[in-house]
Amino acid sequence: MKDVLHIEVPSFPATVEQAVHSSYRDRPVVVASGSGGRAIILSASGEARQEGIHRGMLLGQALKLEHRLIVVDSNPELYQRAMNAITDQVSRYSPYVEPIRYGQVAIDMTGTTRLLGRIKDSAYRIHKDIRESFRLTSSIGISVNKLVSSVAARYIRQYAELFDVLPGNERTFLDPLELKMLPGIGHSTDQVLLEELNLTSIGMLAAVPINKLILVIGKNALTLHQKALGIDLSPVMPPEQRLEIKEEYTFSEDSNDDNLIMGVVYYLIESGCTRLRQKNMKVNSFRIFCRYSDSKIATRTVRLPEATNKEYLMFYYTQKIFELLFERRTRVRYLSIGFENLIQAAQQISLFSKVIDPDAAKHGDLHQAMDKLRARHGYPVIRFGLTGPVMLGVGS
Amino acid sequence: MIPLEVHSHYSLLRGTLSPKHLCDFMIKKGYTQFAIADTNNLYGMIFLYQTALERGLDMIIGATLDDAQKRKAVLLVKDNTGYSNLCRLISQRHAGESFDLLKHLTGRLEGLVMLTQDRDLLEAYQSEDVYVSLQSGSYSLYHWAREKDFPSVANIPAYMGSPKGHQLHRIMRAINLNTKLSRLPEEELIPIDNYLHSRAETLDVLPFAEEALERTMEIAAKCQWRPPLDSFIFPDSNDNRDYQELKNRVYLGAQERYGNMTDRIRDRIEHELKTVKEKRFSNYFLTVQDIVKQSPITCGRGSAAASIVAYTLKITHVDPIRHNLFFERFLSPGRKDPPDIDVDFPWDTRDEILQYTFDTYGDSHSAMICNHVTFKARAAIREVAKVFGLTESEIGIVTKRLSHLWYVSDPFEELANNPLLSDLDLKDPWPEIIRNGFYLAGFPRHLSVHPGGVVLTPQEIRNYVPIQRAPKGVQIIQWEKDQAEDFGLIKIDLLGNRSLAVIRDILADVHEHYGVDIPYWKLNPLEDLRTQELIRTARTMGCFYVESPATRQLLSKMQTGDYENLVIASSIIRPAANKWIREFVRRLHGGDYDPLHPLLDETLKETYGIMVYQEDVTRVAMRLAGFDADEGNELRKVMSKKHKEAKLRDYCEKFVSGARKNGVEDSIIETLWEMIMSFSGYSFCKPHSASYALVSFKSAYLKAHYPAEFIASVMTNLGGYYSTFGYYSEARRLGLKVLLPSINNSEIRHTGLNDWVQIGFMQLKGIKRTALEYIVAERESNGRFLSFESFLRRMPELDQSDVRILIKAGSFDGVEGIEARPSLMWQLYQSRANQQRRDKPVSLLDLNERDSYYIPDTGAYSEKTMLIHEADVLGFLISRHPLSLYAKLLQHLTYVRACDLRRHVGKEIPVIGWLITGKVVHTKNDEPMEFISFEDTTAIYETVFFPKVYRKFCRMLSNARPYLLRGLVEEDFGAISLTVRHIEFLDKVKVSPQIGRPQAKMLPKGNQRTLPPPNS
Repeated sequence: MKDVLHIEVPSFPATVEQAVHSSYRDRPVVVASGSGGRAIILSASGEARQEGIHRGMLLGQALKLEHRLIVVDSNPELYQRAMNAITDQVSRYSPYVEPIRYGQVAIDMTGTTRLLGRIKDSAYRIHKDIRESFRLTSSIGISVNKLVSSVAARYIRQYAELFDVLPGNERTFLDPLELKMLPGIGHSTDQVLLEELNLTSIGMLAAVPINKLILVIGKNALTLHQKALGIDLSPVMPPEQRLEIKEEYTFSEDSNDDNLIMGVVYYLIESGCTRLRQKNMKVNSFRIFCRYSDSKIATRTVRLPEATNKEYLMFYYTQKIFELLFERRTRVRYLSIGFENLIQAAQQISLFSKVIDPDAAKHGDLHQAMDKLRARHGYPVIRFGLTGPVMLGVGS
Repeated sequence: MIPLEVHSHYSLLRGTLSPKHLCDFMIKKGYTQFAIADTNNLYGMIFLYQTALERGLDMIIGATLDDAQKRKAVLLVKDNTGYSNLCRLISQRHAGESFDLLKHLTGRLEGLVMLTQDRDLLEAYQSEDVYVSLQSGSYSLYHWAREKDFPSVANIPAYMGSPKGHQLHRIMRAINLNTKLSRLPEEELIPIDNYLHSRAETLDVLPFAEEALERTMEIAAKCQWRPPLDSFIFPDSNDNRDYQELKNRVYLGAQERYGNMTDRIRDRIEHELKTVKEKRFSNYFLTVQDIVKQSPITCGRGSAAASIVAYTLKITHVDPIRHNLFFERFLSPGRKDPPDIDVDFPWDTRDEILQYTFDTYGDSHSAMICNHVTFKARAAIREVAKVFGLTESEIGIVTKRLSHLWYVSDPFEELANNPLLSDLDLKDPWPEIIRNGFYLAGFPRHLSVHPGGVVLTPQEIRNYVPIQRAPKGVQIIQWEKDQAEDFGLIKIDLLGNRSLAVIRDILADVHEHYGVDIPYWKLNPLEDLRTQELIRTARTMGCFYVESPATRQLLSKMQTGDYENLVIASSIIRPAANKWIREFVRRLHGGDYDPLHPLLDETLKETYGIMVYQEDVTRVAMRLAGFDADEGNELRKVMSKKHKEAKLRDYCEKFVSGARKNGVEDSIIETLWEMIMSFSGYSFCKPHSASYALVSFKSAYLKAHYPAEFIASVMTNLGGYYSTFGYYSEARRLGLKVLLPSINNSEIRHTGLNDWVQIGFMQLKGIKRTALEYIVAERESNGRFLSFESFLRRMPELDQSDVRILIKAGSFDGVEGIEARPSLMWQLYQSRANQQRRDKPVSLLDLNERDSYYIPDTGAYSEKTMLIHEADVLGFLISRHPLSLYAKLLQHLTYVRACDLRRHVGKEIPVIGWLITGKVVHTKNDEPMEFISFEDTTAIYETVFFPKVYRKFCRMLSNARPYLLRGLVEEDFGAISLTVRHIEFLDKVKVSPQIGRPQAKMLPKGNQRTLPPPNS
């Protein structure tokens, strides 16, 4: 029997904004995907929810409901930082910590009672830690699996900070609850369907024989049925550590000038490749990520015919998809490239190279020479003309 | 030297010169003559020609043609034949991709001068009118021409006034290609040196070919053709025969219309026929009648309604003798402008009528008029800003603030210095965006189809004007209505009208339900008392043209129900005449007034000394300021046009001096001119208003006598002033029962009978039209559905999603009961699952349960769920008024019922409201305010939000939430309105019984009421 805690900070992005900006406190705040009327609300603070505003609503609609609404542009980096901090904080209680999504963390505390005392006491301490370190109010559910704990955390948040579902009481706890309390059901097509079938509580859903449920719901029936019964066998899984290189650049003034953007892309690839060469690594592909002025994002993977750490090759293949990646006219605010799945650069030259490239040696020498120069005198000492307009020191 | 290839902004999204700027540059560079040569079109020919004339310039007509092979030739018009050839060539160019200059110019160059650089074209079409076109860098071409003995001519295309225009050109290209500046392909751009060169500049570019500069004069001398601006073009009358035919039909029609003929009628007919014959319009009338005949229900309007000929031909339906309509307003021997007949048809049959017209008169002889869609200032800024990569929200912040600054001279200076905008941070690239955006405002962008203007021509239409196909396939000419009219093409307007369809449907229903047969053209209920009472009391929601809140307020102030006053009312309601409306009402109720001037006493007697109709402008100008009939007419027409400032200034001077000559005091002249200015924008002539008022009367008659059919039909045809929800509330006020959709009783459309309205399937959101047709067809051929199961059995092809919507809407309540809705869902899902599986091998899972449904005992839907479903699938609540959801709250609240407002005039009171419709207007100081109609469950009422209150509360206003309003009840000539002081959301009102009770006592008894319980 496991002891799983689910820690939830409701409306995480909005709440984090409130924690960071003291002037937002106690006032209705939403985080939206922009500021136009068609922007979508990504998160609404408790004060905003009281006005009937919820996630997924159009901003224009929400403003009609509450015209004093504070609208904040989404700041994913901030929320990620906050998540990382919380994850770090609770890792002190157990190595099995899984960040589930913004504001939700599962932690497997099985077997910690000897060391830390009763599970419930640890949970109280976690709650207190989060409040004191981050000024965030969390609710915590405790049960034998992730599913029931998360329902418990969600259920308790308006009454208290903690809810402990004793082993064996999972169904007693779940049965009377509204269906939308099950994770993954709220605002989904399944919810509409179950509502139409007038299955209003989790217990009613659990009571429908699985073979009947398949008839009306289809392939989702099994998962739903399991959920309704409170069964969840998935373990708490910490994210694995991966080796990766990321280079990024924020424009001092947003731009849609292809020449400038192209220059920045080259600069990022160049910096990335320098680091690859330092680590003696290569990659088969890499990702380019772009965020526009209006916070919309575009991302593409550039696949290379063979593993390399040479910028001229990478850039050659990037140019081919350049217009696909930057197909919008909107100005670009932020660019990054990411190398994942690094592989050891073998000294051996491939016998059946897919690229016939007589210049390879020449380019290789050039890159090496530049690396040396820069190692001694700094990056700006030698540059390609292409990166001329790029403002150094602003990005990366 | 004369520039021979000048492009205006009609070279769409390439040329940067508007007609005005183009002429400015001509004068600046010292030219008095030039040739226009826009690419593949004559979109602006008449405008450009007129502008040039006004500026003392002479303009040769021409066009540049190109083709898929990238050949290019400039064609200039020498004579009539040349013009026809050019129009045909341009039409061919638009007809398809296969256009090839090398092939299609054959036999079409007569009457044209061609300039080109293309050696194939030069060799193929060598003649004395074909020239080699020399531009910068044409040195080798020049030598080739000398060798071949071709005459060459200096011809540097002018797309811009100067190289500075090139940035705008690039922006326009980027807009057109939906790309950004750094990604513009070179081949999409005009070279930067294609700007208007002066003689000296040209010589700099072509120092070796001075004789080529002089040759431009030789060409200009050849091109003598100019657009004729004083002819009529219409299929000609074969005079005598057509006239006889017309005369016969007129007398036949008069017999039907009037019964016995009096001398007065006869005289009028003869008088009109004489003019028609003189002006050779017999065939025009016969043609229009032929088109109108295709539909039993029409409304001929515009000035034509002043003609007894049109009345007897049943083109129009108002008796011009009885209602004092003067024929001269329509046609008179001296008038130069073409006659104008507009005919409305039921909106859903208009396309058939158009098709009939094209079929009858042939594609080659008929086409529709186009609209030139231009950049509006705000859109222009938006488009330019997008080229620069700005986001919607960045753009919105700026454009939202610019609304009242559209006509300033240097927009950016103005913006930078305007204190109102000082908080806008307009840093780069905004200055460039705003300058270019303002410049772009008014530039043509593409063509669209005019809503109803059709032209018919005696010869093939492409001899007169180039034609092309609009995206939706209709053939259109390249001019909009002003240019077409100035060129002499006579247009007939065939327009769609929703209310005519409403009337048609009601008449059909009335015939079917009650066996009463009313032919449309005989329906003339001007004396019907119930109709008059309905109009007098302003209960005209749903009635054609008189249903808006503003008109209903006016009607309730007038308190007259007669036709003559309704004609005035529907004409005086126009945007610029607010000031005179109040004065009119005062005089109507017997208020004294002095005629503005003794000379006008007779002229304006009928309308209480106020100018109401368009023709009053003409008449006042003639009577008082000594205008002749033509000038008077011209003034009237100028009022309704755009870009009229310059012309108006001349007329104003003339008016003032003319009136002074007649000894009129300056203050009165000023008032009169102000009144004349109130006709700008749209305004109507009396015959037009009389035609519309007759349709209003007809629909009011039907509303008064057949309310259920009326409301059902108004909701079915859509397009009324109010939302369907608004009409549905009106139905309840009329005492009608509104029934939820029913699988056995609903048609697709809404239906009404006696005192109930059956919501039709068309109200269901998200259901497929074909599914609905399928249901109705099945029911008609095989009878009613006796149970849900039999429905499913009989409709195996119906999609599950469509049936879900039907269940949620309560369509099966009649056969299965309201409690059964959830069990129907269970049944539905399982039956469809079985159906899918029928052909597949049987799996273990459903071995035993194939044919028995599993239906758990879930009970009925909760009330809340049902309401959510209802609002979801119908768009709003029908089974109860949304305000009734707040009944509990209202029990603790003190307020006045809307139907009792009249008893509280002069007092400030609270009232409950659900927003129905609103109209934002701007005060003299350009502050926004709003007139809003609210309703509670007892009545609809009008409110005013003055600027201060509006600013405070406008962001709270929506039609999704109920309000508690507080304001002053005011009365003006019997019309009640509420001047709002404060609003709050009803669902957020904090109720405290201790405060609510005592207040209640202070109100007179009978006024303090709560809403009736739901479903009552």
